[in-house]
Amino acid sequence: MMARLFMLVWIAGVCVAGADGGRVIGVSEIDGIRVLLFGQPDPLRAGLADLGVYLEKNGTSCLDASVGFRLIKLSAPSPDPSWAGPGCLAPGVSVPAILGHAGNKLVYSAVLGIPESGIWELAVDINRDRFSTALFELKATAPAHPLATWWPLVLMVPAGVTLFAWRSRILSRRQRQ
Amino acid sequence: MRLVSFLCGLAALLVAVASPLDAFASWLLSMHMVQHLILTMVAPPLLLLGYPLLPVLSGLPRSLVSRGLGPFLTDPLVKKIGGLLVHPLVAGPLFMLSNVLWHIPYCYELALGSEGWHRAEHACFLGTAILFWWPVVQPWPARPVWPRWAMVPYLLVVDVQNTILSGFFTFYDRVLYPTYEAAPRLMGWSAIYDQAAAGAIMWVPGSIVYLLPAAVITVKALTSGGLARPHRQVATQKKLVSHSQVSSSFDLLKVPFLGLIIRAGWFRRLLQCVMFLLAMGVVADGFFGPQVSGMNLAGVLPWTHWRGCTVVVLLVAGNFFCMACPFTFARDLGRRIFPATRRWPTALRSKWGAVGLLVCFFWAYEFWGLWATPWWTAASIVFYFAAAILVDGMFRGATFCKYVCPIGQFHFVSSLASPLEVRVREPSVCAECRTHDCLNGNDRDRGCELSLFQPAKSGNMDCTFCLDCVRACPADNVGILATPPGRDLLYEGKRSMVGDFSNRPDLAFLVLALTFAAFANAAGMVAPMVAQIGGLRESFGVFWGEISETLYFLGVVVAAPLVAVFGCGAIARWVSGHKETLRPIVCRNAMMFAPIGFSMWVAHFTYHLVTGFTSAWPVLHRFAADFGMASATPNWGIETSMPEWLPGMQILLLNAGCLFTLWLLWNSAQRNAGRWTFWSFLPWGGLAGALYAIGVWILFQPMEMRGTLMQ
Repeated sequence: MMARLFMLVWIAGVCVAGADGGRVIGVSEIDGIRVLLFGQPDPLRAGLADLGVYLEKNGTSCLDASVGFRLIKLSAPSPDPSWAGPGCLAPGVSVPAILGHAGNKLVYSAVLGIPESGIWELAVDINRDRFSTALFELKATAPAHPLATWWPLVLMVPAGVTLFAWRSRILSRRQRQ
Repeated sequence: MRLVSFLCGLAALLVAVASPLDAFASWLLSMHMVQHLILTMVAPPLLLLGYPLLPVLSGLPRSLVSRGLGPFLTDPLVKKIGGLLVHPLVAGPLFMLSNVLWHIPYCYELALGSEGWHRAEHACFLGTAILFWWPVVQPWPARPVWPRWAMVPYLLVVDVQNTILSGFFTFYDRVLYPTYEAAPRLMGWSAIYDQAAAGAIMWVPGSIVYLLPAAVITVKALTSGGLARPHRQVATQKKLVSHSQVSSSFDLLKVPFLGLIIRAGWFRRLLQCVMFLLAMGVVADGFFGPQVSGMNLAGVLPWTHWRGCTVVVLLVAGNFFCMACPFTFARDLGRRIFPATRRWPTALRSKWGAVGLLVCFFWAYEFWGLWATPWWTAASIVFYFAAAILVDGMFRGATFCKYVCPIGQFHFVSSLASPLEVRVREPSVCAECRTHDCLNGNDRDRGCELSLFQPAKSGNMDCTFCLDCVRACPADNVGILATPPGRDLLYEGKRSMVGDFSNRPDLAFLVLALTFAAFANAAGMVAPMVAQIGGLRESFGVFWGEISETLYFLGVVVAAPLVAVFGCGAIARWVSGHKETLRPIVCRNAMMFAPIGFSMWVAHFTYHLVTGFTSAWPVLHRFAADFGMASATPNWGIETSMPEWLPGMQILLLNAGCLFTLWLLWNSAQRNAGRWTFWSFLPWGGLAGALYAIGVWILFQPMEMRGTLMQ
């Protein structure tokens, strides 16, 4: 029982030890602070997106600010809603971006749900000595089909059936011999 | 030393993929290079030096090794492919190819921009590196295909490739990867300086890692006896395998402290009291509280938390919610007034009545939107209490649980796939028993109210985990034992008070109705189906729309399963030329759909539990404030969101259910169809596959949330 429990914990651990990704998708400068926006997936799609900002002043990281993200739709409403539904933000709602969220602790980040495709404006509200907002224009393409994200898991069933069939074949061949 | 080496290899992997190295990989090429060096040059040889195959095989469950992996590991074709992959002429070029390809700017940028490709890149590095180091380290059960000295040129060739690549990084005067040009400049390093540093890291430590083993092999080759291979591992393996055989079955009641608490009579009463008080709170709030589902206990606790917790407990343990049932608590209180002298009519001693009630309940749930109407929820609970008191007040035993309660039937069927079972510890002790206290009870404790005789009982069907038998057994021979989930589904024989599954059409239909209802219930909450049902009402008007909705529901939960299983049974019988009548074929195979149906219920209910877990706090706050026990206004804006891991977990659950059902169907076909196994299995397997495809489609749709104000 303990061995099986250990195996489960191990497998779960393997699943969470993933790689960090994301690269700079926008740079802005406001009140002497250089704001670098990281985003994933690249290019952005409707649905869940991992966004982060790195704040830099005079070559040093700013780690004492409070940061929030707001999404504002610039283009006309899109007919194709994102499948991610509940995780998506209502436009204009502010979400706090925090240092602890990403693997890289120098980045203020949050997972945002982009409700639909089109042109969006991301307002990054920075509250340090004073309040300032950096604006980034984002283009979100049509949402990816969920199968594109989860295909490795869906493939497990055919893979399992194939392995089982292969095993049965090995055993029956052995029996014949 | 091997253990230390293996643990160091694991630690190296952890440092590579779950440390700041990974977090800064898209900012500094030098960091990324260190990560890749650990993945290709440090972790693989350390892991292989630990001879990992031996402890892994010994540590895995014995049945998995002998019946699952064994046939593959001993298959000549697999051995041949494995041997080919670790042959120096294949492993070396593969490793070099992977190194060169992933450093081409297009591929490297692809990995930097996508988490999926980044993982694929790391998997390629680690996989090819393990293959590359295999002939060098030669862990058990490797056999040398080349003489030992040949490993020296093998390592040197790879070192030459490494030197060329690292030299390119060091001396190239333009930034190779644009991502690093845009990244923040930490420590004041320019992108080109960072690139040169990455080249130097790849060059110097990289070369040492290749040259050091080459030197060791050379020295050993020049001294006598240095090339002898160890032969001790076979003895070690035998020792480890025999150790794993000693393990005994897990018994929850033998767990110190916890076992004592669970078997105590007061523990069940305490659980029932808590559930009873919660039910009273839900009823009171449902009748007198605000009639908005997300603000009422009746809209939140039963439909989000109770259902979700029930299926999770059924999945990881067993039927503990029947143990805590508040209805049987009320019934026991009611029995102080009602004597319960009659016997349940013989004609009604089957599950057909419960199946009918279950279908009615599902219909009412969809048709009246029970979850969205606190008043109806409260009324249903009151009706349930009244029915439990009335039925068990008139009839002896746990008649309500066995023949009436739809929730109980759900638990019975779902617990067929649970890992724990109330079972006899040592059958030989029961062989000498003459009093049968587990069934008849004694002066101190009552026996099984569902008339399950422990020595002849198999599986969890009809077992409410009341533990009366545990307390009544004078030999203390009944426990809550671990059992392979679904084992009972393959048992072909009579069970106490349940009989043979192949002779129980009522049970078969119960399983089918629950399975198809699992998919129908989840589908009723996804956007395309909600739109379609709304369209029906719009097209036909409210009355005819509701009629067509009812017909649609009955078609999915009643007609579709009947048509499907009789169709599958008839096809299987025809193609396999089987002489058996259709009824036992259908009954037997229908039972095998319990795991896939249960997995869909778990996937569905855990979605509501996880997304709406926090929704209970403001409602409880409001409820307490109504009684003057809290003052502040509830925080209705409490965050409810869908975690990123949830869809993956739902798919995994459905995968497990589908594979389990397929495996059961195959085993059933193998036992009953002889040489026509495949043809007999095919239609049933097709049905399970179709249900799986529908389930995946449902999980991919946006689903309504329950018990929250955001619906």
